[in-house]
Amino acid sequence: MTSPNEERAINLRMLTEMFGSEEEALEKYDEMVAIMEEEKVKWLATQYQRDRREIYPDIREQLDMLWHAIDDGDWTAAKAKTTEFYTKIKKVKEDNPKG
Amino acid sequence: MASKARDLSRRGHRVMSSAMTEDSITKAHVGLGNVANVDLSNVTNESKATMFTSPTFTGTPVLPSGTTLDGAAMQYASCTTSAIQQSGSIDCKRWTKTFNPGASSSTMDVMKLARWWWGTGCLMIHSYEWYYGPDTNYRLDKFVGTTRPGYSPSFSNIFNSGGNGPYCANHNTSAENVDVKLDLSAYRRTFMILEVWGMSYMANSGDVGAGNEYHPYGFLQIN
Repeated sequence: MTSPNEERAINLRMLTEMFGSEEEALEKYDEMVAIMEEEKVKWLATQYQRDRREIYPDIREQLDMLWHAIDDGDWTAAKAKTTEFYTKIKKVKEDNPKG
Repeated sequence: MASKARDLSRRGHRVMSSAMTEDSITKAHVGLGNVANVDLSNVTNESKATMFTSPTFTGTPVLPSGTTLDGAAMQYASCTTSAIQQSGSIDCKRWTKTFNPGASSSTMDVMKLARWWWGTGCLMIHSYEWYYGPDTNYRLDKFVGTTRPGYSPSFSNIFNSGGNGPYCANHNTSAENVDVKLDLSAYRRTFMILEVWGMSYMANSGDVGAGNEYHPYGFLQIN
């Protein structure tokens, strides 16, 4: 893991590339680091969404499960939560909880 | 009237169909009968060195189809020069490679990748997969996340008609890089194109880390 000094040097390099001058990078350093810290918090708070997205069944498979639930007569208030469509989606959510 | 001394045909020269004397040589006598103008007064004083070493074309030179200026056949490798692969510079590049696992499934190393938490640049991977059969697959994946400690670098699938796609492995939180790999099924060939924007190509995989850097393994740069 990079040390604080290395961290600052790399941040400055990135900001210099972004702004085109080291002078401006130094001027905006604190402001940009604060912005990126905020972005980091937002990113980590939504990690569960990205994790779930990779595990959810393919959309065509989800639609097929839904069609079978309807075709089998299970798409009722009493039975909907017993269908494969519901239980598979629910498991992904439970395995990857929010925050 | 020509004198005997100037009559060339009497000095051992081939006898022409018509009399050829110094005073009456025509274009036809020297094989230039079809040339409209043998006057060289308009030819500039070009030297051979200028003409053949550094010629300047004023028209449109035509090469045989499929050849380059050095006469070699065109190929992707002709683009793979150190001048193009400027190690460490931030730019946009495309790379290609074909994976052929043969009879056994295997895992291929695609690239070493690092993304700083500023996260500049973009990496897209196109994977084309075909088989000894009627189906072919295509998928497009985008790299998301960073390789900083606490993050989970991964690929987000944008389109997938089937087939395997790239994934991240061996997240090294010390060096702050990750390996990109691809699982290959037996007999299925995968043709991969990397599109990398705003990141730095590194000539050595060991130099990838703590930045927006990458090193593809055995890929050819195509532009």
